[in-house]
Amino acid sequence: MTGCRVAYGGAQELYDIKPDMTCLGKIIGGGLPVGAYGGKKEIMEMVAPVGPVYQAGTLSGNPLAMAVGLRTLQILSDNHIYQDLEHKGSLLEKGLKEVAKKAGEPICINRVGSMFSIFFTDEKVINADHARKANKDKFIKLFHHFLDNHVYIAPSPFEAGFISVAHTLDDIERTIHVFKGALTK
Amino acid sequence: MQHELSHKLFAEAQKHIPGGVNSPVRAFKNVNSEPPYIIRAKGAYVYDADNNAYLDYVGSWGPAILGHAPDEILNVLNQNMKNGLSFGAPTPKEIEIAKTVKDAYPSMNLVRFVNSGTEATMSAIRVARGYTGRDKIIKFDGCYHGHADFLLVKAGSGAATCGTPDSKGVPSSFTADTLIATFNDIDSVKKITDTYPNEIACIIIEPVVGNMGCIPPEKTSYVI
Ligand SMILES: Cc1ncc(COP(=O)(O)O)c(C=O)c1O
Repeated sequence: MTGCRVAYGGAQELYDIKPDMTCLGKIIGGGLPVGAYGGKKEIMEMVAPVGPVYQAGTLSGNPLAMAVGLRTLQILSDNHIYQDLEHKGSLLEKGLKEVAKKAGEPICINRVGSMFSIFFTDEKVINADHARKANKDKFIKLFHHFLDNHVYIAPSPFEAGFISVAHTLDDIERTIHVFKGALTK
Repeated sequence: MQHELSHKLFAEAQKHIPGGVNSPVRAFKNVNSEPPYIIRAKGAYVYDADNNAYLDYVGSWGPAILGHAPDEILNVLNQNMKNGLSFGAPTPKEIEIAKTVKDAYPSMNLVRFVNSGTEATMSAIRVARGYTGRDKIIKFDGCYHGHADFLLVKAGSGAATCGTPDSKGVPSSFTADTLIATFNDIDSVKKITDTYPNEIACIIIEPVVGNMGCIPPEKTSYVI
């Protein structure tokens, strides 16, 4: 999920980590089905046909998926995109928090760049136990209010939301406005 | 808002596809409802069978970072499909994308392409086990890494309320080597590595979790 999402080089770029191995999916296919895994040479040389670990795929490296994935990455290599996404993300976060504060509704908004979640809880959500404790009924009500007002968020409290390059500042504004409607209903 | 056609389609789908969907969360069970049927997506918007437009924050569950169906990508698709849809043979584009991925992720010296995230994590763990000669892996409660048998333990999202393993049909022997730590709690990892000092093949993590909602890492947890 984080690959090319939280930064072009993923969480390892953002947090300056050098993992032995990395798994990628989602964005690297640009909408077509692609995943990838890789890492240090000595580890990846275990993979067949070089090494003894078997792994294969009839459609792996599909020419259309490779072409679409490649162009998607080329577009994303422009750093402005991540600055723009961060800007939109921060505006959304700020707006939602202000609305909740005014409405006296305790919420926790977690966000890294263009990836975010709204939890109905008064504690900071840092692990799965915290996430499970957040109020599900309130989430369901919010979900339906959003959908009724033409805003589509994931139909589960255990999923993240994603902002795209195509979201405009007006779109963000409208989302905050609809959220206000949900809390003051 | 009208959902008449979506409602009909969902009823029809349930006669032919388990639960009417090809991936469980799409059935809207978690929100006690029924899904709109999407027939078109462009930019930040998706459009359903009843002609309702929605501002979309699902983004196909992540991939649509450029928005839906950008013209530039559609052009690439158009240009390339004339040459054929699948070769099952080496093709130059895969060298280019491998180089591009390596530029973005300098920690990767070699990269293998597959068809889904599930395949990526399943294969990467096979390699980690093959390389280390060890069987045990550590994953974090709430992190989802696709639906390989041995990763369906405390796997967040749809499976957030289940026990161990999360799914029927997964023999407990398949998940016996999957050890669970708590996200943002380095001591929970150390406890496992202390208990099994020379038996851990790898630690798999969603560095920013998306599958128990979005949960960022706390700074102290980076150093293992
Ligand atoms: C972090 C993570 N890993 C793996 C997967 C599985 O990917 P796929 O659905 O492409 O098999 C997902 C999908 O949601 C994911 O979010």
